[in-house]
Amino acid sequence: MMVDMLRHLPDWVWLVPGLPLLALSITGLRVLLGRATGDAAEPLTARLASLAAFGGLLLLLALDLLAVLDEVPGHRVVAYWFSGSNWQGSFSYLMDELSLSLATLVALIGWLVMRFSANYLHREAGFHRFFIILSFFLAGIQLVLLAGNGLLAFVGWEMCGMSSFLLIGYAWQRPVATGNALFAFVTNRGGDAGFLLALGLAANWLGSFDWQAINQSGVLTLVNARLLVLGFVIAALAKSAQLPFTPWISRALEGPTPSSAIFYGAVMVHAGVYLLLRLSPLLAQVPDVMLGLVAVGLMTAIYAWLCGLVQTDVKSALIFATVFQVSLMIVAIGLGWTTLATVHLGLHAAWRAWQFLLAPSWLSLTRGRPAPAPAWLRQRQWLYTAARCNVSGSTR
Amino acid sequence: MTASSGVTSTLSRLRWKRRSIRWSGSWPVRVVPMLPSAVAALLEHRQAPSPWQGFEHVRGRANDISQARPELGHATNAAAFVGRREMSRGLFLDRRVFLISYDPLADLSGQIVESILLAVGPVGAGIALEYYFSTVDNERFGCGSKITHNITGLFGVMEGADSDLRTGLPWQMVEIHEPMRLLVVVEQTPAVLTEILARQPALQELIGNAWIILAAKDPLTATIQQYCPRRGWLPWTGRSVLPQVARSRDWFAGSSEPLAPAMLLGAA
Repeated sequence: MMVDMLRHLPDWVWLVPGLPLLALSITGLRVLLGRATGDAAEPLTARLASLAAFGGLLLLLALDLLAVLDEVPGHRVVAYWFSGSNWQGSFSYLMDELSLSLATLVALIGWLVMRFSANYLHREAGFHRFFIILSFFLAGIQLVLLAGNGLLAFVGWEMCGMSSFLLIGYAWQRPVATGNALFAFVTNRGGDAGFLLALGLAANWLGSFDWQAINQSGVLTLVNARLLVLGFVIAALAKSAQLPFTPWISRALEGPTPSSAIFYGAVMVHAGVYLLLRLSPLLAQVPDVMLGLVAVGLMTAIYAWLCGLVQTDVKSALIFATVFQVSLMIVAIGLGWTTLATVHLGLHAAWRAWQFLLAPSWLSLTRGRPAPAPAWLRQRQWLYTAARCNVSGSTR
Repeated sequence: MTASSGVTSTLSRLRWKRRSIRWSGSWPVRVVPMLPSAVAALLEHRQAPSPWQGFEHVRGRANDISQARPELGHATNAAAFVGRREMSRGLFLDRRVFLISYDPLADLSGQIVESILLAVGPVGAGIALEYYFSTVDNERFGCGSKITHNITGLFGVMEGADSDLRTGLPWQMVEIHEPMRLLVVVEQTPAVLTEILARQPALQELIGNAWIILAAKDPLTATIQQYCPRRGWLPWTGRSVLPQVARSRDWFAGSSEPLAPAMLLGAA
């Protein structure tokens, strides 16, 4: 009986990104109408945002239950968007083991961060703005995770990039913050170019944006498949801050702590890894690209490790530890160990969210002294400088 | 206490009514008119938590990692009393006054008060002025909002991943502070205090430049004189009658603004 009821749920999965969008529209309307002023207006904004996140979490948990009890819902087309000569864009969702598990985790982290922020941002001038942007991000990342086709995922991808830009520049009075927001935004547009290229090629060669169509084997020639996957790989490397795109993420820490936690510590930095996991059947057709991923991942790991050794502030130290772990996931994907990468992703996201949220309390948590950079690194001036240069201040 | 019993009685009346009219079918007609008073009682209850609830609330916040305001510190500090306990006993001072014990009758030469002032002056001025300047220009003299802070080297904070170290107090710590210079009221004669001032360049710097304000309360006559750097000791003329309340809670309940002093008559 219960399973029968649950079977209707996959048609409502659009509510997962939809609810945060609804919450942010209401809050945005209140701000526009001048209703959102003073302490009294804060609880409604915060509760709407966390209620929307919690609603998405409940829906996803119910879908997980359905997947466990009955069957994995799979690909669902909810609505048609528009179409061209030989392709069409649709609102379709792919609910498989990968997307459901990660979307549930992200919904949980999103909900917890919303709850955290309600206290943390109390009486901030940008309180409502913060919740609007965070809800926008939550909708975007859920679109990336749950979308059944590349076009819808790209919409979510852009929503993430946009909200990332807006929250890095949260303290817009500081020129450093806005400058770094622009730097991160422009770097990420490089990755988006790759995404768009891949989507264009998919429309041209496959006539479809569906992940299943893109992942089909034997349709594309090896050269075409390589070109197609390279576009996605560039997008993934940019979003997950792998070389040569790494510098943007160390400059992205200007926003409030909870936004750093959810964007760069826990969720958005893993979007690129997720994209590669989603496309792993396509990747498997082009072993040379997988080899490239291993190389890029290893180089990034060494770079992030080196930079992590010389960081003096808690957020930068955490971000390089994050990049290090993400690059290990990229290596795992390159070696074809996608299950390992998925498990690694989930554990890392949960752990890193907790660490980032704890970052402001670090002085009261530890009595120890920070370890200095190791002697061998201090003695090699050029290496030390290279590691320090990632912090934008020393490049100016 | 009255509010919570009001809630209980309203709710129990509701429950009682409900039970007695369960079968009549017309209970909404009778219950609905009672709802506004029940809601009002609940709201009133919410606005005035009991002291125990308040204590638990603050203790919970101290262990909450999402809380940027774990404690108030010395916020709202306004004055320092150096004198006998009788000087402040039974006074509600809104937690704004540093109290330093000192018996002027055992210190006719002023040696003890001299050493007290040498400690209270710089320390009190340091605290009061840090709050003062962090409040009047939080961006320059304070360290701005806590929420973008990033702990650096386990000794300081900067904003984001790239800024100068920020000094002073964060905005969250001074948002309820009223910027004012510290008023130090010493229970000693102006003559003794004048001698101490003449001897101590450190105090001359603080008091002569009006970083803190000095007042003397005569131990025998209880008249108060305020020290003016230019004109010397001036008699204080102010309202010496304070509002009287039974308990401090009668004075502060329902208010979050800074409060004037009041006399507490005791809860008897």
